[in-house]
Amino acid sequence: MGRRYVLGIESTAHTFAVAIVDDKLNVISDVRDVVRSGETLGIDPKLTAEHHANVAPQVLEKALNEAGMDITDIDAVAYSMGPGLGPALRIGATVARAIAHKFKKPLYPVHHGIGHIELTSTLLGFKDPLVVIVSGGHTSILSFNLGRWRTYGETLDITLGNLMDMFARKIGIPFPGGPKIEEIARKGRKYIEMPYGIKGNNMVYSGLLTYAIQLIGRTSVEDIAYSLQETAFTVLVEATERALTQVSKKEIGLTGGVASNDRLYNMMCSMAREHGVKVGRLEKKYNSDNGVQIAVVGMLYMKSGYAPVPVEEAVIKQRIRVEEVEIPWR
Amino acid sequence: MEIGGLLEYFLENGVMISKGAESNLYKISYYGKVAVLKYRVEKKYRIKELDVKIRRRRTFGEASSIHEAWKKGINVPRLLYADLERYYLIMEYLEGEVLREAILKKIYAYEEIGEIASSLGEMIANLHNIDIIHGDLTTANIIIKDGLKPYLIDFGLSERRSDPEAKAVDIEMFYRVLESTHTEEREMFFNAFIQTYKENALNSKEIISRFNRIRRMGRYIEERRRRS
Repeated sequence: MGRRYVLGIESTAHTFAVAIVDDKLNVISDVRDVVRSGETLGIDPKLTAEHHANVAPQVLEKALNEAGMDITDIDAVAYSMGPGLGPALRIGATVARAIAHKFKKPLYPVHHGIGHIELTSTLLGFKDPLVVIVSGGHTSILSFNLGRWRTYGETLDITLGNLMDMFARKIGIPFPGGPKIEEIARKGRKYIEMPYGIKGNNMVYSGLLTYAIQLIGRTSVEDIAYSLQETAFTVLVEATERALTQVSKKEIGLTGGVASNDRLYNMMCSMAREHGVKVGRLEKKYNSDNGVQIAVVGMLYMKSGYAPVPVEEAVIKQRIRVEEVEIPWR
Repeated sequence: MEIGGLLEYFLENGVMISKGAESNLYKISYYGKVAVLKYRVEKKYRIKELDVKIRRRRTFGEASSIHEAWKKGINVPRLLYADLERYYLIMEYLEGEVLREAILKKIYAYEEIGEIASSLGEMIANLHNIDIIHGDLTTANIIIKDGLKPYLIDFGLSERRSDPEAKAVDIEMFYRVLESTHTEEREMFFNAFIQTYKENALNSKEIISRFNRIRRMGRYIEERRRRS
């Protein structure tokens, strides 16, 4: 059998993306188009869906051109089925169904979070990692057990990405504020005690955010940013350490936008070293939403001989949890 | 490290039995009795200020919760010694099965697990009735001994709180553990647990209704769509 290719479509939130991977999970092409949030706070589902619908044809064409392929050369289509914004997800699903129907290609709905997880394992070469996703949409600690990816700890309110971005906005830094906060925090000298929210292996961040916001104007912004970061990251690393001792894995894969933060990465490494565990993080471009993560999972489905979904059953699920998804390839 | 301190004496003469997330456990001899020494070690990943605060707060919190619970006749190890300056506790050693492994290895019959869950529901109700929130309810923190009697350990994240919300969160954490670690037994276990909890906890109606609300608030929960 010759090489096989899967085309993956991502449209969960800000990003509309198409990527092609081969059966060795090599990236053949990777094209993305991110909606500008402009003046709106957060993300507007309707504007996002309009953006995705507008750019979809050219993103798809560009992905095929980059790969030097025709749509007929593709062996299967995968799309992000959720969790995410309904109107945005519908665009990706519609494009995927159209291709599958017209060109008679097998179709695989993919859980967006499992996309992050499997891409992390694949790129880092980790066999059985604990995966820590820290982004605007997720803050979860996951591990594979009894046939599924399972959540061993997660935020009980806002995500770590939200925490950083919302604090950044309050001090006048536009989205995404994380990288700038990291820079400011480096100049902080004094640690101010802040609410430390840990519940078992889970994190609670909203009290911390409120506390930090109330300090603005009353003390140096560098010290607030420093203390906010130290507190939030210490909670996450502690939760990860707790999960790690429960599942006894030998690798930790760190992914998501906040994974780019060097302070967090170094703390994670320091913790892991004590347990003889390896830590890896993805290069920046794979920490944000992309089509590769969807294509990789689509390829894993195809290679494991999992039955594709008929076009009329290819739905979206805005709130699907990782535990609901069967994993036939592990 | 101090030379010739009491802690050093115990560590030298003890055997490490586990290296946990936030503390190391040693089996030691304390005035001729087998005991457990729980030592909260320094964590290099956190800054000094935070490290010291966390270690002191947890050592103190655990010592006081465990002592309060023990005085009320709840099955917990007896506190023998606490040193808040060097962040360690000495407790009675409980010889038994860790519930997590016992369930995973299928040591107990279905009915026996149900019986343990019922005793546990009553025990957590009693704990909540004296306003102690365990903070880390997992099957790894439950030891079964004297037949099918559960004992609760590891009060490092415990809090003294009387509000129903805190108690509901405590139960929700436990539910999550059952969901991720004991998927097969979850339903039966939780039903038996919550039944006796309801019968014994003060204000249980309010706590259970908050528990149900928190479950629905979880990120990406399917039932949430059916609200309204």
